[in-house]
Amino acid sequence: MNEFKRKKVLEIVSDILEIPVERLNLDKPRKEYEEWDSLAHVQIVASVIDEFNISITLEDTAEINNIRELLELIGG
Amino acid sequence: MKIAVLSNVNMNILIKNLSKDNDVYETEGYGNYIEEMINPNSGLNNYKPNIIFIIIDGNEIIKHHATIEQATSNIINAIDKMRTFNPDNKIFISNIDVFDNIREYSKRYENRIVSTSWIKSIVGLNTKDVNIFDLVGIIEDLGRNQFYSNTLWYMSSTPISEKAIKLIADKIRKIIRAISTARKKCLILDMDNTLWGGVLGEDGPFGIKCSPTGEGAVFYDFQTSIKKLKDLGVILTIASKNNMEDVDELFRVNDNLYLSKDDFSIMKVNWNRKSENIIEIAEELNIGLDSMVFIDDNPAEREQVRIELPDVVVPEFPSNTYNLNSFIEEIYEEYFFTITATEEDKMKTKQYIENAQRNNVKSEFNSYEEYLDYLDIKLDIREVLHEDIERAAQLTQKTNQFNLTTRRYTENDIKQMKEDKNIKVLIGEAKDRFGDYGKIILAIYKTENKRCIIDTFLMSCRAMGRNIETNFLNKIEKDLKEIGVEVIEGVYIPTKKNKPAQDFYIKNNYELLEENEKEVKYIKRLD
Repeated sequence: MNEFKRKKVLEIVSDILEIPVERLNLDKPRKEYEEWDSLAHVQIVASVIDEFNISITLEDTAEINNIRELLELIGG
Repeated sequence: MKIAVLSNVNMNILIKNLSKDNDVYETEGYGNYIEEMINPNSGLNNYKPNIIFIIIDGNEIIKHHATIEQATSNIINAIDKMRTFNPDNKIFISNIDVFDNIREYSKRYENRIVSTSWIKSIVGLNTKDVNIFDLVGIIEDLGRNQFYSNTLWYMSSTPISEKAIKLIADKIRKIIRAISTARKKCLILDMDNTLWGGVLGEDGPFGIKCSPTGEGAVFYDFQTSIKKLKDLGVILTIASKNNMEDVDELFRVNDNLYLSKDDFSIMKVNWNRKSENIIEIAEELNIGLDSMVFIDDNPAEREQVRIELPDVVVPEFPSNTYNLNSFIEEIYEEYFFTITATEEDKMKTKQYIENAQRNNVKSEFNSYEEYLDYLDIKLDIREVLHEDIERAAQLTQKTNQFNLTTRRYTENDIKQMKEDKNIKVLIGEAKDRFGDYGKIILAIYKTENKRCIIDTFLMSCRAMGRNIETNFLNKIEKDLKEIGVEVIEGVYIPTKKNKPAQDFYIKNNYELLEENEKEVKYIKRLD
């Protein structure tokens, strides 16, 4: 299940940033991705919320700094 | 092509998507699009987009207006105002989806009435170059559950899901492409198992499958769709391995076919290679192979054409023939998508048939001069009138081959030149014994101090090889001489496509004045 969630989240991030999954790094801070601006951030979090049918508050959204933290938030 | 996306909700995701391959206006924020349109100094009006897409969220627009008519008249007034700063843009306003569902079930139909009134009041205003963008069509294809995202709405005021945004972007790209590039011109069809079920040579004229109902209905419907393409100006032709006598008999005796023989401009029914037939069709119609689409159920034939003629589009044929009609719809969307078919477009098939007739009689004459005499071409030349402006602009936009300078002008440019005393815009309409060519030739020239400079001289390719261009130039020279002009200067600006116009001035006794990489100037003294 965790592996599934992780894979799905990576696909979402890859799709929105238009970066291949292999080139994504779980710990790289989002600010260091040129493509990961505030708009992309909202797109990623909203897609994750819709995909897993969960709630993430705007406050928590702002605090997500990398893919690993996003995974932790959804229990992945 | 510069575009802008305006909306009453946040469309930044859509704008970001479209920016990947288009110049898109970076909006100053959503919700103030009306203000952006009416303010002469707004970012939008400085940007001067060629196409503007206005995507409206139905529920939101209703929330903020007392009546739907008030909402549409606000938008249309803003468009009129904006057009005073930027007169030539094309606008696509979305239709709206309204779904206020917490209400008496017996009143729910009112949602539909509101959506319909929206369209009626926009279309009813009949503002030029304002079209409806079929947003609701996308919602219907996808379903509301997938189209909308509550999450994106509350997080960022974007009511639409990622998936739906991609579909909207696809549709917008299709429209941009339809406006900025020429669509394909000709559809080449196979017959057996493509236009009807079965093999004519084996099953006979009553054995093949094509009928309004029953088993042949899918082919009948396919033929109906193909006829619609013809009505949009697509030239229909045949390249098929059959006996012509069988085909003649079939069209004569079987009333169940939707298409008739006359619907096809050219029929190549023989046992030659398909690629050879296609080349002949292209030559007879005088169109490029890259403007043709070939449909055949036989994979070997498709492969042969793909290998021999890589410029011809050869789509895969549906393996399940019940899907023939979604297939032809895709072909339309992909290659023949049309925003508005002009009268010229609709006349095209007729004109290409007339042209084929002209070519057919050519061999009966001893000399080309005799042939031209027989055609008896009449050329009517006049300064552009109000009703010619649209066509004049279209000619500058679309003519690539016989075009000396390839300068593109908008309708507004033409209007302004028409009002300038020193500039003349002449258009010519030609006809001969086989039919009308329509308005096919255009010249724009400027006269000052007994000196005339020809800014634009072009002719539609379907009129090439008839000496029309020479007659047109002679007429201009005669007019100029009468008003005392002494020198005419012409210029040729080479492009990838305008080789046919290269020697025009030399052939007409102009002298070379100067030549550089960009252009060649010619001169003629009138005496």
